Amino acid sequence: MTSPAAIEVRGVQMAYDETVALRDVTVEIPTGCLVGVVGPNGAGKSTLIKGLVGAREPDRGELRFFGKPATKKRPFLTYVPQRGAVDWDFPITAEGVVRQGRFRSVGLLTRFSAEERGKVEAAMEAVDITALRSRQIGNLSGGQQQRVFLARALCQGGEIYVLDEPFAGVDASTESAIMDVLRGLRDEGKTVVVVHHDLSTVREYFDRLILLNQVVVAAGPTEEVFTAENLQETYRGQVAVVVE
Amino acid sequence: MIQWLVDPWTWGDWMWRGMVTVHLVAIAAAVLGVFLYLRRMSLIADALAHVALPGIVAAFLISGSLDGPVMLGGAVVVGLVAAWAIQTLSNRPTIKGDAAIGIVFTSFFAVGVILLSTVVRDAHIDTHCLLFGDVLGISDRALGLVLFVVPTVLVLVAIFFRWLAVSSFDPKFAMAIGVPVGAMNYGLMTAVTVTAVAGFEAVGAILVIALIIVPGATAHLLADRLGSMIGWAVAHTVVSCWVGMYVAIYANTSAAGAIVVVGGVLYLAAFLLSPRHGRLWMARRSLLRSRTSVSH
Repeated sequence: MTSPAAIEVRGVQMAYDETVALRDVTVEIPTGCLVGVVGPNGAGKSTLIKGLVGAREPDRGELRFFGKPATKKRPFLTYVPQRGAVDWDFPITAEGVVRQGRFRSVGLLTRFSAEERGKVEAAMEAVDITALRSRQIGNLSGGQQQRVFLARALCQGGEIYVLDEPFAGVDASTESAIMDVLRGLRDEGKTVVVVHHDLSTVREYFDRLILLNQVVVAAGPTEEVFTAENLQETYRGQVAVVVE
Repeated sequence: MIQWLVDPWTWGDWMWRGMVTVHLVAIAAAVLGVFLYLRRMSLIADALAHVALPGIVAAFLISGSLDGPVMLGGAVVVGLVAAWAIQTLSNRPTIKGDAAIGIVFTSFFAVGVILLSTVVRDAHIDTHCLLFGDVLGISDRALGLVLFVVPTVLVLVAIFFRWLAVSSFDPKFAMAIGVPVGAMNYGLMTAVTVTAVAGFEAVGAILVIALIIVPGATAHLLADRLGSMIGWAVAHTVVSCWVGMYVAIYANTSAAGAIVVVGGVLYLAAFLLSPRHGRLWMARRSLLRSRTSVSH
């Protein structure tokens, strides 16, 4: 018997009023892999993320983590939102954002101990933003902003990492720095789920792939799933892709 | 000059009563206003201050009294119903958030007006005072209410500071790390309602809205950390209150009006002069840039 999958999605349906975003989605993500979720706009990728992180309950179906039914609290799950999701004018520094990653364990009124500060420091070093610590986040480049959010996730810790389009609007060096960090997490046995847009890097980045367009078109190891036929079906002629 | 500053304090205890009340209300309003501003919910303050009217009237109809706790209770219950209605409406994809606020609070307020002019005509609810306040005639009841409400609000904000901050900045993340985002939201609504009601007698329902919105908006131009934004907001409101009170006394005009006008002038000054966002500095920078590019 192998260890249970990190994430099991069973027959999940999610809708907004009359618009169905996800229809009977069933997919399994094994522990310790780097998974891409790919599909056109409106395919329900963000909705799936909302379901995984618990921001929205599925209308039907079931989610299981490590073999157990999902409860409201998911402390093992770490979420990195889309870069556009926050107000960049917010009066907070890069370090301030990273420190939020420790809020769950530090609590409301206790001060940050030396140990907690060390975790914040290590996370900032891992993505190379220590020099930017006291900048207000609006004064950072897109790539730097994404690194800040990744650092927050790193210092939060967890077994499953969920990232919503981490490469949107970032420079090439940030993209490869982020990938290095994600591969490092995978090698430590963490499970990493990434909503991704750029089909040209899919093969290089992900062990496994989920092709989504309201239903799961295909899921499994990247080399099996990433075929011209599957992409055609996922994008329904919206893009012309050449897969050699 | 000093004489001129000291004199009003010797003219009767209405001076210190007014000063204490208006400062306390203004500080609580400014602190809450920072969070509302950052959540782009400034208009909610407007709505809640108006919705408190039917709340107070309803509480009076049920209990027959206008004691502080009764007023607060009525305003909070009706305020939360209104906040919930606004939230529910604006979650519908077909209804815009600003319209939802407008629909809900005007309807609630109108019900309050009708109740006031019919069912409770005999009750001594002074609508003029409710709307415009009377800083220079603070009653014991109003002073007591403020002395209870404001410290409570400030202590709660201090305790829940991290949760309020993270849920204002990134609600989805906050939810993911187990912060009760919904409770923070309704807690903030309750605090705004309670502060507004406590401030009615001093500055009135209309102007308490300005005390909530303007300091936060000014502070945002000057601060790049949440702590310093709160500091600037409090500084803004304290200066507005001091200057406004003296203006009102010597010009013999509405104190609440004078306070808000001073606050508005300070906002304008920050808008023009703030080092980061200030319009004057921006104009100067672009002028310098165009000069250097010409000389090159």
